[in-house]
Amino acid sequence: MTADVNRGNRPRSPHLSIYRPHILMVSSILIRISGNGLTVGILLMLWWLLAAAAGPEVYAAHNEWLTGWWLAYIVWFGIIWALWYHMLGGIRHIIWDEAIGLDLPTAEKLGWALVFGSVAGTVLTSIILLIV
Amino acid sequence: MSYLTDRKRASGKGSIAHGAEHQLEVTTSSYMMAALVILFLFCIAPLIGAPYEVVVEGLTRPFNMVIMGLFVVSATYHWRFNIKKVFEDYVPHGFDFAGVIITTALGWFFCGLGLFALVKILIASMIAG
Repeated sequence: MTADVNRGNRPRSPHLSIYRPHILMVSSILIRISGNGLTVGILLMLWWLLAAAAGPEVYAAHNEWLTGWWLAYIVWFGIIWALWYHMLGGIRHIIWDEAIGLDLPTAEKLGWALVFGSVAGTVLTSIILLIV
Repeated sequence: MSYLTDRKRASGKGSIAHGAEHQLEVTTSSYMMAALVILFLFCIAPLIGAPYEVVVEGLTRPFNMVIMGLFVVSATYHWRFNIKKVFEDYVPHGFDFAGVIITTALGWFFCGLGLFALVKILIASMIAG
């Protein structure tokens, strides 16, 4: 009986007002934000594919909206960053699943590795995409 | 009042009942997405924003077509884990299950749209040349 008391009425995460931000917390929250933000990426990818499927004239018109102005550039670079960040975060989960790097110093280093690794990956990818 | 003891109600609800299966599904999907995201960034991403002929020529290469098809299926599948978690964690009880159903339906819908577009691009290019 006691196990059922007040069940379902407990506070839900994230308890942002309780914890002081630290790299493990922030890097974890960013995984969720980048993952959910990639919804925009899926929608834009589908838009691009469907425009290409609709033929040359339709594609040319929609391509202007998708890639032809400054806001589109910001959004696509954001998507590239989110892809890198979320992927590196997933790799960190795979590493942690093997019970490697769970001690605090290593875990904090992995957190910073996500931040700097994702920025490095975004810059690398952007340079390749802008030059090629 | 419940006739079951706390011990009895908890038994069988551990990792073997649900948790381990979900863990394995997401982990398997993560391995696949890690590989596909790298391939997507270097094979498909350069085509985004390119002229129509370049896009069609690039996408209809066998390797790129397979990568893109796998990416559409795998990404929409993986996307559902994320959105499902948001509904489970942040939406009040009672509405969360409806959200999970809507997310699942949308995920399959996006998957279908992407595959339809790929097939149409392929057929159009075959008719054209």
